[in-house]
Amino acid sequence: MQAEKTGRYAASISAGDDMQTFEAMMSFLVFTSIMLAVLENPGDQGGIDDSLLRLQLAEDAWRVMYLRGDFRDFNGAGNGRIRNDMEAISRETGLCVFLMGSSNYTSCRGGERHEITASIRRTVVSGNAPRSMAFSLGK
Amino acid sequence: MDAILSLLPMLFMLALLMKASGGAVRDAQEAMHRQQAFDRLVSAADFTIKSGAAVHGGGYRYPNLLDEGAMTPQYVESLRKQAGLTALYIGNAEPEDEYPFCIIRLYASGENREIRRLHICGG
Repeated sequence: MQAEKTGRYAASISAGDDMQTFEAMMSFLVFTSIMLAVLENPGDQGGIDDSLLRLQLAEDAWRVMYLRGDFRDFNGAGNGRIRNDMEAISRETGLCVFLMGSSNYTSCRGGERHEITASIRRTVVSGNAPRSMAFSLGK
Repeated sequence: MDAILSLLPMLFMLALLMKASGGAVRDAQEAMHRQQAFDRLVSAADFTIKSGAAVHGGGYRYPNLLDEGAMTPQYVESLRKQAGLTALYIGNAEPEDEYPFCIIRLYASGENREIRRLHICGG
């Protein structure tokens, strides 16, 4: 009787050990798979900060239009020359040009969602009065 | 058996930490070098647009109004050395060779002040 009890007890201990080993193996497999996934991940390489270049390009666009006399006696971007130059800059850069002051103009199609990538503020003389406007490039 | 299965994850975890820290340092160094090279290229381009190839006259210089004849191979080579770049290309056309970085700048040229695009590539 006593021997039978001892035998049952030993069998239950052995079954418990097997269970623990099985759990440990499962944990190990899960951990290994997670670790391999982390090791295989090359990680974020980090992008280049080109914010200064974008501002310089906006400055270029403004300066080129200024050199071409687009802002002489400025009375809005409604005249054809400014619009043509804005479109030419768009063709050269692949970016949209935005003039935002008392009136807003863009070289890209209206009604579409655009993202401003660089914006500078400049003052032009219009009717003998200074007028501030934002000159921006975007996508 | 249990002891081995417990020990192995610990060793793997140690290896993972070492690899992760080493990789982070390497990535940061590489990103810093790339950013430095890019910044040098941007500076070289800005110098060209604002002074190096800008039209000078009457004691003034005219940023973004470029004398295209000033961008000679000698000028480009001199600028490359001063900027600490291993390669530099400046021209209106896209370069045939491959460069780590390529940027564009806008300028006006000639009597009619035509709008032109300048490609500056290097690294």
